[in-house]
Amino acid sequence: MKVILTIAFSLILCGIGRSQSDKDSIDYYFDDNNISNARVLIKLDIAGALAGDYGARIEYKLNNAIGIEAGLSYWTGALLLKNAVDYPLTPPSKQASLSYHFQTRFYYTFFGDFKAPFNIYSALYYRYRSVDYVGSGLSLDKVSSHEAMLATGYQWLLGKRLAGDINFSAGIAFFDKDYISGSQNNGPFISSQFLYNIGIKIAYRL
Amino acid sequence: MKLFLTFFLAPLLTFSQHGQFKVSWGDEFKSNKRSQVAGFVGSHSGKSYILRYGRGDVSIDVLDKNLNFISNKKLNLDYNKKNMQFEGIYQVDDSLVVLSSFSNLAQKVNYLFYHKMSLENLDNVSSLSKIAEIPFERKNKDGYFAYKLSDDSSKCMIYYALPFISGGPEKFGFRILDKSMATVWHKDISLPFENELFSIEKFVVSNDGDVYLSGVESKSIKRKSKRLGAANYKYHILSYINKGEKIKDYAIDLDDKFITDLQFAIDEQQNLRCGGFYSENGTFSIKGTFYITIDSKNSEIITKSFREFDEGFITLNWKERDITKAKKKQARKGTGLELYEYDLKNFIVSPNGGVTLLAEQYYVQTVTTTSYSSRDMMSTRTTYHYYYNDIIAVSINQAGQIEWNTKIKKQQHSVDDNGYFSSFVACIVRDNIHLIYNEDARDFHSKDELSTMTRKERNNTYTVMTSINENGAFTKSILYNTDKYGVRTRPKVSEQINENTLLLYNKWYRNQRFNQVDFGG
Repeated sequence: MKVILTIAFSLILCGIGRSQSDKDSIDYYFDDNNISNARVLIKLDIAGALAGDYGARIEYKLNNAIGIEAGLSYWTGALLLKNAVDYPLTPPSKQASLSYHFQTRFYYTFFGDFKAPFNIYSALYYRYRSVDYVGSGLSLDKVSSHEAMLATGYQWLLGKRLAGDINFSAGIAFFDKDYISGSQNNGPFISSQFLYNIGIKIAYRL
Repeated sequence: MKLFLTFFLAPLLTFSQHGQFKVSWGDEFKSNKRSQVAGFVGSHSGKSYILRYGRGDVSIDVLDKNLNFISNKKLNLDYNKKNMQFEGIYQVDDSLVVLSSFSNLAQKVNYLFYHKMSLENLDNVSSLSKIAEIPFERKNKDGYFAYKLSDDSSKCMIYYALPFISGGPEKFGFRILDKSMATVWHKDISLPFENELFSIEKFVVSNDGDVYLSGVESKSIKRKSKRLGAANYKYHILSYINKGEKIKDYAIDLDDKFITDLQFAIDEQQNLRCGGFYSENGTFSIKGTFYITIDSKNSEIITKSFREFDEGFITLNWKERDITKAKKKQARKGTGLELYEYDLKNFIVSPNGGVTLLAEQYYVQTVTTTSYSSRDMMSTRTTYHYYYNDIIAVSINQAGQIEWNTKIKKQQHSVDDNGYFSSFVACIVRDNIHLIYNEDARDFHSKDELSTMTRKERNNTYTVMTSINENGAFTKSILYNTDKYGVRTRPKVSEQINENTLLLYNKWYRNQRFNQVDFGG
């Protein structure tokens, strides 16, 4: 019994000693589970999912001012073609396809004491989407959309590892339609239209 | 011959002598246009050290004894790739003390650290040490740190504002450090005022390590709202002496008068001298000055007085039209004439028991204009006009009487630049107060003088010096023509660096120069 008590007492003393020495070390004050120098964030697009665009992104912080975000999403909606064809389109035969997302983010380092990736930012946002269409009696194979947008938003820490990201982007979508069989106006056709996007994402810091 | 000219003419080019003072110039140098000089840090072995803020970094400019730029050293604010926030820097003997903080989100504690740098080579001579900490619940409410040095730089007070809790008491803490960075005393304080209704305005730490602070207690959140009956706020000066064991709250009350500005200092006898301006109309104008001296040993008021400015002084430099307009307004509203929008900038304590107050008229006007393009597209633009006008100097004697007051005419107006080259810097040399500021040649010269000048000369900008003597009489002279030197003086970041020397920072786009005015021994 004495031996057990001695060992237990020694262990407690060692524990106290260790925690005290931890606090004496300057490293202790900077031990924040690497929150302050988070470089990689994995994100789920909440607003996109509500609109039928199920996707994820990954953001990599290059430095205190710049971050790069890239991702994929599974798009189940139809592209809103403004001047696509001169005849009515039946609903697309296949609606779902992959979308590709790419953002370069510029964080406002002069704002507050936060640094990338948790701060207000502006971003250049490029998105590529494509949908296969079938016209009435005609075939419109594939419509692709190259979308260039300017975005502004805010990313902030929700907890130790969770973060929120909200942004608004607006820009132009360029549609290219590669071939329309049976139409008098054979392609390729290019048209463009204004578009905007609201992004709400939940992020997990690696 | 060239060598001869270089040796004998160069000093003449960079060194001009005007009566009892000398102006010497350093060479021009360029820096990143995004960086800004923040102020003078210290001097050692003939070198001067200047704090500079860059984009996301902080650095020190080193100048030689001739004010020529030698080098720039970026401060290392990283620890294990973790970025710290710069909090301040000051000189202790032959080293610089750098204060930095790190807000640890995992531990939810905001830590303040210091490390020392050698003034010889700006290398770190000590490792990072923790000074203070603020526990917090949310990152955007993690408190803040500030510091203040005593007059002889023997004590440094570290102030830490504890996180704001809505409806809770105002809470903060002090830590008084000596030159070796050892803690002399520290205290966490909870004031009997609600934090939303109390704002701290100024700290003073005496050479003995006693702390004084001034703050405003408001009766409602809208302190600046128009007065209804009595003033709805009260100034307090709180003292923490004998290592915080003796605490005293001096409520500064002028009955039904608005105190619009208050400053205070501790004199050589450790008495508290406090003065400022008051108004009877509201918080944006001043009617007169008040002066209170308090014996800090027994907390008794030695002197309490207030004096109204006479009408002649208030309307000095006003146009006849403005005087008539103001008097009509006065008659309509039943109020007295007052000086509009003056900020108390300097509180100069004289050894004979009096004080001199320096205040400057400062206000901002916001102008929003709407225009239509040829396509009927409406666009709106907002511009901010910054005005830094007349300076008033008021000398109050030991008995609280106004010995003299004077108003110096000055007109500075700029747009959307925060008054970058505006305002003034004061230099107190013996019994004289020298005020240095920029002025256009058109404002400096009389109409007769301007008529004899060329157009280019009329468009010049001068750095002028107005010297006020012990009787309140002043003389105004051109210190130098800034166009000749290709840079313009920035009074806001210029300062008196010793009893007889004023260091001035000059800039125009990327070109920068330092110069100093030496008033002799």
